[in-house]
Amino acid sequence: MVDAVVVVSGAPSQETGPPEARKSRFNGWAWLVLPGLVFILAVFGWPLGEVVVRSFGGDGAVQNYGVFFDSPIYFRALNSTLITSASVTLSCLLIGYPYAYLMSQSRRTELLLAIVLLPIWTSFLVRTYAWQIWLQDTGVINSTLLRMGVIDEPLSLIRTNLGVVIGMTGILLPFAILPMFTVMRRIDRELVRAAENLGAKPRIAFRRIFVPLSLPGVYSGCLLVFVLALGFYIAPAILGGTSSPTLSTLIIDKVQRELDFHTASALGVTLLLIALVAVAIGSRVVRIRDVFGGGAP
Amino acid sequence: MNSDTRRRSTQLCLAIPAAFLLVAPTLVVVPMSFTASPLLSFPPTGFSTQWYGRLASDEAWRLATLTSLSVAIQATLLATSVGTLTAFGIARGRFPGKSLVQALVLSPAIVPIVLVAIGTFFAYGRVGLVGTPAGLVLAHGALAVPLVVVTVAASIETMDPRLDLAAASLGAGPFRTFFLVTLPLIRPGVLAGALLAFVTSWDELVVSLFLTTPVLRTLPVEMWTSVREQLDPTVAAASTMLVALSTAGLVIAYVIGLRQARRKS
Amino acid sequence: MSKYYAKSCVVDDVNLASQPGEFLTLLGPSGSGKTTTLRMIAGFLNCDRGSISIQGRDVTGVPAHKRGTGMVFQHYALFPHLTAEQNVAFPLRMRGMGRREARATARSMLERMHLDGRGQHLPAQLSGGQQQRVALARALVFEPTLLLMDEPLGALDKKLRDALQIEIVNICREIGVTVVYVTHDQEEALAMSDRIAIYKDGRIAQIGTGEELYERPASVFVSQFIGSSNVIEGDYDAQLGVLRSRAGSVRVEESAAVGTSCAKGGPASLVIRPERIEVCSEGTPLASGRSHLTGLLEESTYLGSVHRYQVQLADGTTVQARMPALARADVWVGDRVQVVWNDRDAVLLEQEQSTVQPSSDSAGEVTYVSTP
Repeated sequence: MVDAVVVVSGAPSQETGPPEARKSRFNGWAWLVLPGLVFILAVFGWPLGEVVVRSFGGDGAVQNYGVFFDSPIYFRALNSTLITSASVTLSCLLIGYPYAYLMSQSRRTELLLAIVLLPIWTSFLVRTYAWQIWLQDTGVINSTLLRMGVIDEPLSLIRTNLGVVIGMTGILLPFAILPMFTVMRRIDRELVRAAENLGAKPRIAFRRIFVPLSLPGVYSGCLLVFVLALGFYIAPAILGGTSSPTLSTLIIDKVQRELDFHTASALGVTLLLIALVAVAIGSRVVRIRDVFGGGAP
Repeated sequence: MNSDTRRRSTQLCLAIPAAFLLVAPTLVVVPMSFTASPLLSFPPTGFSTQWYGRLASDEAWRLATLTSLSVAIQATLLATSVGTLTAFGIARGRFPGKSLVQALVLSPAIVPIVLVAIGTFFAYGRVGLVGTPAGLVLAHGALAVPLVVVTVAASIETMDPRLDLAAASLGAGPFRTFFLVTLPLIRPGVLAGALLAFVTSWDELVVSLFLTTPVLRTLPVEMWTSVREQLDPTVAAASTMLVALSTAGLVIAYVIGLRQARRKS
Repeated sequence: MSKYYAKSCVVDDVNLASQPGEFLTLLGPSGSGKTTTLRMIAGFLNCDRGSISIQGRDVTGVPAHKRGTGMVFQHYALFPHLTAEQNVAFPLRMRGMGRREARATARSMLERMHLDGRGQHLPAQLSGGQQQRVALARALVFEPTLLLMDEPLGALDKKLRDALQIEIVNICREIGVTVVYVTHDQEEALAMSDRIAIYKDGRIAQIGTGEELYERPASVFVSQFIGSSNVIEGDYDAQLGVLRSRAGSVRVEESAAVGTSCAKGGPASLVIRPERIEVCSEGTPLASGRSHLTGLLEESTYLGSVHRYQVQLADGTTVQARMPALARADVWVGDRVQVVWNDRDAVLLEQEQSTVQPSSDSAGEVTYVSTP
């Protein structure tokens, strides 16, 4: 026994116990979240707290949140925010899905991916501003159409909701395409082949097999685009008209021009609640961490 | 065979709108920056590099570029170090309330940016951080932390956990295992996170609008003011520079990726 | 009657015709074109030349969904978002069967596969063997005349594989479906098939029943892919009926060379199965009709039912012998020994340049070492 190289005695090892006993509720790695947690709470949580506190301050919460009933402009802004975000989400989905599909099937994935990533690495502001050049009265679209004689006077593309939706769709498209692509790429091509082998026409195989399997990506993309669109300030400010401001333009106006911090805060908290509701609904179908994983894959 | 080609061309046609929306901005900005006219109208008239010259000579633009660079670098360092630690805590840690902590750490990515902007304006104003580079670094850092956490956590989770065990069985202690095995393996994830953090700060406008003053402006803020005040092609020149810079970044990232792929094979 | 003839770069000049109800296996090393052939029959790949017909109907240009062939994929390709029952009902629904009827048919098919009670499970909730059976049920439920299987057991462990082999053969016989089965595992091929087509470099090297392939291999490659064999290379003298090798000359029966291109003499390989070789100490007298070569006993290993010997001949060629453990010879490693065989057990074949990459299952058994 003394000379043995390996001695195994009959005592039960720790690993064989019941799972609850084996897994303690806490391990050493957990401490590593502390710096991040403290940092986020101090640098980010505190400002948010300030907003919430201010939304109850001043003339009181009833007054601050009551603005929605006082003046139609706030209610219209809320409406316009929701409609803009929803239309942008829908158009990103409709336009982005075929592109993501092509990316997942094509042999030139790298090139197609580079086209998607190029705008992500280009400044938001630059892209918004470029859309202005496309859409304005003396812009690319109007001057081309005018010269061709298709129209006699410029189409009003800018300073309209249509302009905002076009511009925001262009800007947010990568955030819709990338999650859809990530999911589509993982779909086993053999499955569509199997469906065809079992008698499904290519179109039916696509609809019954490919589309359902790509839904997680669709949900992620839509949620991401919707939540990002809610907070958009730059695009509506440059491309939108003054007739129907969104909540974010109103909020910044309130703070910068009118110095009405309390109403601004109340509007801000409203916006936050909408975003949280969207995320809560989204979290039922997708893992939130996968959705907000940043632009690039 | 025939139906195959038809299917493929349908796919291609349906993808064109997206491709157009993606490249359209870049398509106009670059030619506009070389216009000779002081007006921003399309098509550009004449050819001139005067706007690039102005970009380099104008004190305000130069300062703004330097401020943006310095803020972005500091915010990247901050977010990457904090975010990487947190990613380990989230990927490997076990503790009660983990999903709440995770939600809190990721919250900067979910909260509408306008709200962050006015919040930091209120809060940082109290402690004199508005109008200071430190204020910008902290705010940008917070916005970038979720991106770093998610990217790094993903690469920790895809790492084969047996490699750590293997290192331990070969006699490496926990610290040496971490620095000699784990960290090198997740380095691509950390680099990707850092790159995202840099771009987040470099590109941030809304929060910066509230934290900057006429004497301390970042590049996007300078551009924004310029667009609002006088629309001249200097903006297009600055944009082209940004596009060139980010394309260069993309190419560098691609080359790094290639080299790593080659080393693996 | 199903018949296929196809030609392309990957698969070159393949001629196959399978009988109704036959279990035909395409066997070969990876990359030899067997899966390509299968995918061409299924309609996933076009053939550049040649034609494919099923039951006398030319299906060469027909898209996959109109061919009506059942197929079991390598990793099953079960639809992960559909339950087992929905998976099995899928082909029925695609053929216009009503929802209720399709469900009932799918359920009875699952019962037949001993999967009752699993119908509502998603593929991810089933074990590997159960997934395999669902895939088989799905491919058979619409009563195809032809069932294609692409290494369907590759992902399972040995014990399960053995059990399922029998199950698959039984159910296919019962239904009377014609099967084209792809595998790289020779034991599996022997256990299941009526006939086996051996693939090499995109061509069929030989086609026949397992026994034909084992007893009368048409090439050294086949002799080593099905089972293992010893190869002695040399110069065949047809007049004297002698093969002169560097390790010595041996007698070759005339019948051993019949039908091969080396029947008239020239460079040739003599192929002998290890279990037909006996090892005994040098100088032991031989009965008539037996040949021998002498060499050095390198290795002697007890393997339970058999005893394995490895002998190095004078020219460096290694010869393996497998003798029943009871009949083990009184020889020891390092002894000079002679390897002995019956002349009628040896087959004379053309010499081949390339060595075989053995299939994973027979990795330890290939004894072919080319002579320097």
